[in-house]
Amino acid sequence: MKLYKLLNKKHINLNMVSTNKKDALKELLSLITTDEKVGDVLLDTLMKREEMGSTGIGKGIAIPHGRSLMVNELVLAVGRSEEGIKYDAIDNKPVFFMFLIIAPPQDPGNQYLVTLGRVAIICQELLKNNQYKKPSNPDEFISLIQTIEEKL
Amino acid sequence: MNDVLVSLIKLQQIDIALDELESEDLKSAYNKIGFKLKENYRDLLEQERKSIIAKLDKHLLEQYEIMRKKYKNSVVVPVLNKGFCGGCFASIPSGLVSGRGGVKTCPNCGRFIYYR
Ligand SMILES: [Zn+2]
Repeated sequence: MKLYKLLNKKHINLNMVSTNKKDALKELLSLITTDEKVGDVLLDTLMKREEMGSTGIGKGIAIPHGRSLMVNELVLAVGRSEEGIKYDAIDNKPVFFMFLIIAPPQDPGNQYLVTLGRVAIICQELLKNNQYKKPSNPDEFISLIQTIEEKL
Repeated sequence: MNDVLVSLIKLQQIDIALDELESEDLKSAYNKIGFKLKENYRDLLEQERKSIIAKLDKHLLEQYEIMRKKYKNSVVVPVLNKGFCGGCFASIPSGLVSGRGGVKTCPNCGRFIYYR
């Protein structure tokens, strides 16, 4: 699978303003849906997941994820913050880069877990030389992911 | 989307999560990535389930639990784009009247349906 093909530039915010987890998730969800009720259910789902263990996996990266009846296909969103987000990450450090994954309940071939694994690998690549800081717009970001994936 | 339907959707999502968190596929993906769950993660979900159930009409809950035995994790399903039940694919009549709690059910299979 190629992650860059699943990315939608409208779902990428490289200048996030939120400084805490809940606001940051809301900010990312606002890229995905304009329906308040759908947004609320998604936020609730993601926050419940965070209560069970932070998806901030360290080194400034978070991969919030979950399954929801509110989406009919796998949805991704990307957020980057210059200031850092208080995220209760496993290394207690702020988060600067978020990759959100939401999947529907029925999911042929378990694309959800495949994508989750792929995102984790790409995030590690993005950390090298702070590559994730370089793109200045969503198109550049998607190109960067494509470049990384071609070298993998 | 009314509040009763939202509760049913959340209940369905919790049941899906409870099942999936036990799956070897998820556990191995989590291990590889480095996600760590708290030891009491299951209790947290069970508590959430209880709090949703407490607010739900008991007949609706009964219906949900009966269908769960039959349909597993597809008790609450979307109406697909051309008006078909997301569970059994029967056509949903456009003038379908809401049932208990203002929630619509598929006339063919009985699943709770929602539009998105
Ligand atoms: Zn049906």
